[in-house]
Amino acid sequence: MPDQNHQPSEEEITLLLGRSGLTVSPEQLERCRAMVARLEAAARRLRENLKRNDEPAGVFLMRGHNP
Amino acid sequence: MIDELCYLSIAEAGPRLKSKQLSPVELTNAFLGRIEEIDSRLHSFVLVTREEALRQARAAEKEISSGQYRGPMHGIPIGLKDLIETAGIRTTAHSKVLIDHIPSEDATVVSRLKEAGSVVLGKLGCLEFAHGSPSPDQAWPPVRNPWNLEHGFTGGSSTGSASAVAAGLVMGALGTDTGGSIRNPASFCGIAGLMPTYGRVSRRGVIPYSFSLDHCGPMAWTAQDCAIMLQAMAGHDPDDPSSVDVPVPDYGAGLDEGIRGVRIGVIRHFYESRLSPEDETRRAFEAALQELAKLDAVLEEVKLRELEDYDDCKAVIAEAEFFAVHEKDLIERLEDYGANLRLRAIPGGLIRAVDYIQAQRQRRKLVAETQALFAGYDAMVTLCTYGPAPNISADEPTHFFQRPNLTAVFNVTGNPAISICTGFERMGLPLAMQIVGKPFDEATILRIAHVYEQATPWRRRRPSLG
Repeated sequence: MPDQNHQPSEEEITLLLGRSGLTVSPEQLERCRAMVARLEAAARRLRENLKRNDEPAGVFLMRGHNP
Repeated sequence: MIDELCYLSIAEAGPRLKSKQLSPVELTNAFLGRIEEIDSRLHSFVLVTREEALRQARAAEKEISSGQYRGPMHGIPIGLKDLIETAGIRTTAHSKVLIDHIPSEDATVVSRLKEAGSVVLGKLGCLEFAHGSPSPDQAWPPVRNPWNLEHGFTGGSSTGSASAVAAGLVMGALGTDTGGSIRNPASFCGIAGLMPTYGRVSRRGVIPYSFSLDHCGPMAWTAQDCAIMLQAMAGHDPDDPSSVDVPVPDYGAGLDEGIRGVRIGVIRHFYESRLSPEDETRRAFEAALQELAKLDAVLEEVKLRELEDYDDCKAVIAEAEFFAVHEKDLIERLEDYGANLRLRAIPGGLIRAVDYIQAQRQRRKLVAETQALFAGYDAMVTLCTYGPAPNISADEPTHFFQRPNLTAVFNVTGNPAISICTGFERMGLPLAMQIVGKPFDEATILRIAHVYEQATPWRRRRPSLG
């Protein structure tokens, strides 16, 4: 079972940022961790209560909206 | 005399310009003089385009003198957030990354305001790429709040726009809003700031933060002035893929019709658990509700989804899209970004594709539920911020992530929303509420805001700047 409450460690963050092409200092990394945790928590909650057929919003939200 | 001219609203100056009682050159010189006198303390401008402004003012004067009056923005001095591109004029997004960026074309909103005869005084400071926060390593000092220069935070990200309007350095300004960047500084600086419906105002030529959440809108001393500016800015732009081809109404036509019988949903649950009953912002909001009731609006409590649901959605979408916009520069020249923005931007590179898609799936549900609730109301009202402007030194890089944002809700849903002043707290700092409308119904929220401003004394107080 995947761990749905996983909080990435500094090593994991470094690895993942490396895959994005970013190299950050240990000090920057430490200060980023609160943001990373916040986004992880948001992503976890956003997975909940979605049904198979729930479609995403369009990037251009109001196209097709008929006022 | 200079102060008197600079504290005119757009609605007051227009008829004087049209009737030639007031000259666009005289008006522009008054503002340029005031900028020179005061802005070294506020830092609201990053560039004053003095010669070009005077050229535009002379052209306006010539046209008006020869009977070619273009309308209520003709000869009106404005400023542009430095996130909005201007042909031949440096546009930096308040960042060293774009310190030499000189666009070849005006953004569509700039072209439209120029066509309406506006005089552009220059480019206004902002938070870096609309997403940073003040840090000492930036190319310009942080913009100060004219209501308290020492205390000083303007909110963001349209910092210079809000500060300059409140201080009487421009009659109106353009701002942009991805999570509250028009409404938040409008609130902290005691002015009116309108985020139009997503798709109402073109974003072509506006440096992006987050494609699916970005809006561009007017900031001015009054809601009526926002209506006048929006009239010149709004309308379909085939060069902006988010732009919607719907008719633009006459925003000034119904402003004085009153709000008898207008159904307003009151959203309290967003902030109730976070503020004490005696909190000044909360009490000012309750007093504003009483005022709306006295004006014969019909008020009723309404509950949307929990604030966190919108905030999660906004955070994941905005950070992922911001990283996508900046990926190349973040990798190749990270150190050119301000220290605080680096900390905010880097985690966006860790958001998985599936997380972004889940956020957009949740967003669709949030939009559908919110618009269904709107069917029973003409507008909704809630707080704009949890309190008055915080001290500038208290704005930590990740501060904005620690409490769910009251304004980002309507970036997620795309509804129009305006921030207006609801009074002042004990230190003299402004307080505010936001009025939210149905998609493409800016006219109703502008009317409610205008009627409220007319009925209350808050528009008669200006910051004391000596």
